[in-house]
Amino acid sequence: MQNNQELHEQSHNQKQQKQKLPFKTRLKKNWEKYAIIYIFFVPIFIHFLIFQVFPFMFSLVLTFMDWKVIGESEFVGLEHWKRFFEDDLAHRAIWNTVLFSIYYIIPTMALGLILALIINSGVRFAGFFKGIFFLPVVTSFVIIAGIWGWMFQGTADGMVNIILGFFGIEPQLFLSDSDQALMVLAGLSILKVSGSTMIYYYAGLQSIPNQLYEAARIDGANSLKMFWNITFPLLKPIHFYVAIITTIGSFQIFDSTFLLTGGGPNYSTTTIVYYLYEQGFTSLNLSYAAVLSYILFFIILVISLIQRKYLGKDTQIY
Amino acid sequence: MMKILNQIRQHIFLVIVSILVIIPVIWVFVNSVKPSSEILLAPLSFPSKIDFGNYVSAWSDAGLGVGFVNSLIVTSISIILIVFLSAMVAFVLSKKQFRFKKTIQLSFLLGLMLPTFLAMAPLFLLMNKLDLVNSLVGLVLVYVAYSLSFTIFILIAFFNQVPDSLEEAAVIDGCGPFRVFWNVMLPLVKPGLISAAIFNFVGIWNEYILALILISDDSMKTLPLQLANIMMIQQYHTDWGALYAGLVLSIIPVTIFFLIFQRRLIEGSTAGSIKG
Repeated sequence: MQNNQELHEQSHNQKQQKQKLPFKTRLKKNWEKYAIIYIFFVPIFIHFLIFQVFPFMFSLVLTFMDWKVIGESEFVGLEHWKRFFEDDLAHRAIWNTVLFSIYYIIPTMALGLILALIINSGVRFAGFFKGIFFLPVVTSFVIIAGIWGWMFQGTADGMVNIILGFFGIEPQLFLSDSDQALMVLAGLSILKVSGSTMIYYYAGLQSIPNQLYEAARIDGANSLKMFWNITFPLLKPIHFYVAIITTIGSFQIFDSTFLLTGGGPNYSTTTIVYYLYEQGFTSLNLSYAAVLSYILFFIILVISLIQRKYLGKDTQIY
Repeated sequence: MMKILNQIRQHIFLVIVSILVIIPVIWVFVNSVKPSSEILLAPLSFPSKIDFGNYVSAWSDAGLGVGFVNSLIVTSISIILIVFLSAMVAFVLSKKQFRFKKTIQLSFLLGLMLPTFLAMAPLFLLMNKLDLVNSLVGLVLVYVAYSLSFTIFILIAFFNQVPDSLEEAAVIDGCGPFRVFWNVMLPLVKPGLISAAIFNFVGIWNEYILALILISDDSMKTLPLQLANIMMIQQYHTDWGALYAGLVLSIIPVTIFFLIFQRRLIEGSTAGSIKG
C-alpha cells in the first residue's frame, strides 16, 4: 500500500514537471515511460475488442433487427422477443435442457465424490485410476459421442443391447426412443465430466485436517457417521463450486445432441443451444438465434445467482 | 481382515468404473482392425485376420489426415500466440500503473464470464464481413480472442508472485523494459506459461462448435469436424470400419498428450478454483 502511495506521489511530481515542458518533450517522455504498454497492450486489446466484445454488444442490436446475410436488414423492434414467448418449441427446448440437468448434475457430483473418496482412502494404484477417470475429460466430445453412439445402437446387435440380452432384457431403442434419448445423452456427459469433479473433490478431501477424524474415532463414530458429519459438510465449498460449473455446463449441452440425435426423436433432445444453432445456422434466422442466446444467458445468470445465495453462504468453514 | 475386505470392495468399484471407460475404447480398437463385413456380422467377436484397410480409408478417403494437419496448424499457432500475447498483457496489468487499468482488467474479466454461445450469431456475421469464414487464419484469430481472458488471469497470478525488486534491480543494471520482460520476467513465470499452453491445447484441439459455424470447406476442417463428418456419413453408409479407425486415430494423440502432461493437467485443473 505504502509503496503504491509513493509511486503515486512520484508520478504526481513528474506530472507537474511535465506540464512545464514543451509538447514534444512531453510526448517523448510519455513514450519512454509507457512504450511497453502501447506496444504490448494496445494491439491485443483492440483484437480482444473486435472479436469478443464487439460480437457480444452486437448480438443485442441483432435481437431488434431482422438481419439478413444477403440483402437489406431492417429494424423490427421487439418482434423477435415476442416470438420467443409464443414459440412452443423454444419452451420445449428449455424444458429439455432442465430435464437434462436433472439427469446429469446430481449423478456427476455423486460419482465424482465417490471416486474421490475411494482414491483418497489410499487404495493401491490410486494414481492409475485417477488417470483413467480423467482421460475422458481431455478427450473431445466428438470422440466420446462416436463411441457412445456405437455402444447404444438401437438395434439388436448394439453392444449395450447384447449385454442387456444376457440378462434377458429386450433390446431397447435408446437414441431413437423419445423417452430414453435424453437419458443416454446425460449418461455420456456424466462419464465425460465426473473425472474432473473427482479431482475437485479430491483436492477438497485433502484439505480436511486429519485430527477431526482422529477425534471422531476416539468418540466412537463409525465411518458412515464420520462421512455425514465431517467429510460431507466440510466439502461445502467444493459442492458449491462443482454445482455451479456442472449446471453452467449442462445448460450449454450441444455437441452430443447435434452429433447423435439431431434434436430428435420428436424434439425430445432439442436443447436450448441446439435450437439456437438450428435457428441461426440452418434456418439462417440469426436475429432470433441472438434472442435465444440472451434468454439462455439470463437463465444461467439467474441460476448462478440463486446458487450463490443459497449454497454459497459461509464458504469459509475451515 | 476387515481392512483387506474393505480394500477389495473399493477396488471392485474402481475396476467397474474403469471398465466402463476402457472397454468401449478397447472394443472400438478391436473392431477397427476387422474387415467391414465382419463388423456387422459379428460385432463382439475377435477379428479373424488383422486388417488395417479401415485406417487407410479413414486417413485419406474420409479426410482425417487433412483434419489432423489442419488441427495441428491451428492449435500450435493459436497456442503460441495466446501464451505470448497473454503473457505480455498479464505483465503490463500486473507490474505497470496506468490510467484505465481497472476498466481494462474488468473488461477482460467480463470476457471470462460471457459464454461463447452468446456471440455465435454476430461472430459469424462479423467473420463473414471480414471474409474470414472458411479460413484457418480466421479460426486462429477467434481462438486467440476467446482464450485471452482465461490465460491472462492465470498468468497475472504468476506475475504477481514475482517480487518487484527483481525488476527494479534489472532496471538499475541497465535493462530496458522489453529486456526486463524477455530476460527477467518470462523465465520466472515459465511454469505458468507451460500450464497455460497445456490447458489451451486441450480446449482448442477439442473445440467443436466455433469451428462448426466458421468452417464448411472440407479442405479446411479440423480433426473434430472431420471425425463428426465420418459419423454423419456412417449413418447413411453404415461404414463402421472407417468410423472405428477414425476414433482410434483421434484418441491416440490425446492419450499421448495426456500421458506426458498428466500430473500438470490434474493438479492444474484445481489450482484456479480451490486455492484462488
